[in-house]
Amino acid sequence: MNTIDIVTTPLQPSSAVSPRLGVYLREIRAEILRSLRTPAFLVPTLAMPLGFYTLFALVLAPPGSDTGVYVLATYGVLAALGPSLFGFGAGIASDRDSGILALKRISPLPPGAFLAARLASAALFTLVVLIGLDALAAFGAGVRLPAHAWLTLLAVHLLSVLPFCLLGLCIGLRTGASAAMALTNLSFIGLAVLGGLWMPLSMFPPALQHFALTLPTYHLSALALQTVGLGNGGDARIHGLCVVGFIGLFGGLAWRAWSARTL
Amino acid sequence: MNKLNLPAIEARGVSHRYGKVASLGGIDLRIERGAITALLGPNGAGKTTFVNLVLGRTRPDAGSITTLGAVPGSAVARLGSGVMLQSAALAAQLTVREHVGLFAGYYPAALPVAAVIARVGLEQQADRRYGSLSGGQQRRVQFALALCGQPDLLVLDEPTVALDADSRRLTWAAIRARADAGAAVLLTTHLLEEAEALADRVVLLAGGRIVADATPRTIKARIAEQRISCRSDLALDQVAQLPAVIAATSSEGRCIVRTAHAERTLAAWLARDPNLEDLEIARASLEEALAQLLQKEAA
Repeated sequence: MNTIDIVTTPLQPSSAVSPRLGVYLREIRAEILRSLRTPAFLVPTLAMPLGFYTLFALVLAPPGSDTGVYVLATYGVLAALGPSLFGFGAGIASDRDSGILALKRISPLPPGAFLAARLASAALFTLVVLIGLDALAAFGAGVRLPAHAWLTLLAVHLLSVLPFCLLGLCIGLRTGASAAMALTNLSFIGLAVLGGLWMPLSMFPPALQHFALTLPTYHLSALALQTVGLGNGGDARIHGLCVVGFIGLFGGLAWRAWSARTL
Repeated sequence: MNKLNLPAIEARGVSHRYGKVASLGGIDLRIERGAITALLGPNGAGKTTFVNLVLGRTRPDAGSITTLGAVPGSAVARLGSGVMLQSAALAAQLTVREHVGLFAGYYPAALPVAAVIARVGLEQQADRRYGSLSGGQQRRVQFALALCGQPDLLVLDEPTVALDADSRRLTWAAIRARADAGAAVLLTTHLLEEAEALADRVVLLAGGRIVADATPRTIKARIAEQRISCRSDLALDQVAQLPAVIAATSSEGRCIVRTAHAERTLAAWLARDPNLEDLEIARASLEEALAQLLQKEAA
């Protein structure tokens, strides 16, 4: 399948040029519709990063400081964390409880399509928030970056969706819906605060600063901060390697849970 | 194609256990195409376990099973099967039309979406969201998803639970039409009436074993025991001699009789005791009838 198909394949069951691709696209569309029609998911996950950015970068930031750039880098990671953990993790737990997942898995739907649809949905909502954040930063907070820095930053932020979705999948596949919701909330706040997304890690005691090294949010925000020239002096390759490690770890755990036969 | 001659499901010596509890103990079963087979049995008989094995949701601990000639749960088996699970809510935010369209897209030879919706009688609700439908309507959407791909194998786990009488008739007709088109239909039910009205063949399961495998008429004759309760002047040993009586007991001044044929028993009874009063007739529950059947076989 190539990218041309994506543009030309209509969202109709009967006329798909590549039936398999059509199945993926319709599944993605259905997943996005579900999220769009769920205000309880939509409003907090989309509004929170934008609201925080407005508060800290536009309202509270001292004039002439680099707060606008700093929180852009870290809140972009936060923007990926919400849809990934809540839409993907808690969403899959609730699909598992309701039996939707069981029905999908015994249907002819390719096994990957269900996950791909949820991943694409999380990525899309993240992208919407990121565009909003970047616009607020550029036009509201007066953030000026070279074009390649904007693009790299966007790429790092979007990449964050992958490890967070896989983490969400681990939670969603291993716990029931209500436990998953609690665990997801806990993970969200823990990863955001302790990874330094809400306030700079330098405000934390040394023990917590060391603990942050074990969190994917820390390494992703470190990569984002380096992109905008506010790095902590660490090696970007190490942070990148850590992120890859988290993707491998969460992916492996999720794969084991997914392969368990009765779901 | 010669695959049409193969049974839709073939289970050989299939056993399954949950932990230490055996849920199926050595089942041999072939499910043929073009017919409706009902798995009948009380709760815990192993019906849903068998369905899960057919769908590849769980694997047998011993024996082998194929679905449409393939490994259960494989792409081939899934492409040829339409399934309605006993408890599977769908996404509340999507409409009936969206749900059916999505599932129809999974199958190579799906029916047009509008035709499927008409077949389950939800034309009026087609653009309503699943979450706003009544329980019976939601069940019909789930049935539509099983039906939409024109599957060679239709697997329905308790399909008419929560349906009103009209929906039930509609569902029965659609199931029958699918079998007449050559598909194999496997459904589970704990209602003798449903098996009787719908199935060509009834496989009676109890305690993880096949107790009987016959036409609904034969099964019914074997388990459709009735219970007559009344006040009568006739002595208990005389009642026990009446036609078709299986057993007679008395309790609190009432005479309680188990019979294989209530009409014959009563005709003779009324002829001998015109004062018979306070009459009640009830069909024994499937559980009671099964217990009776198992006892009879053990004897």
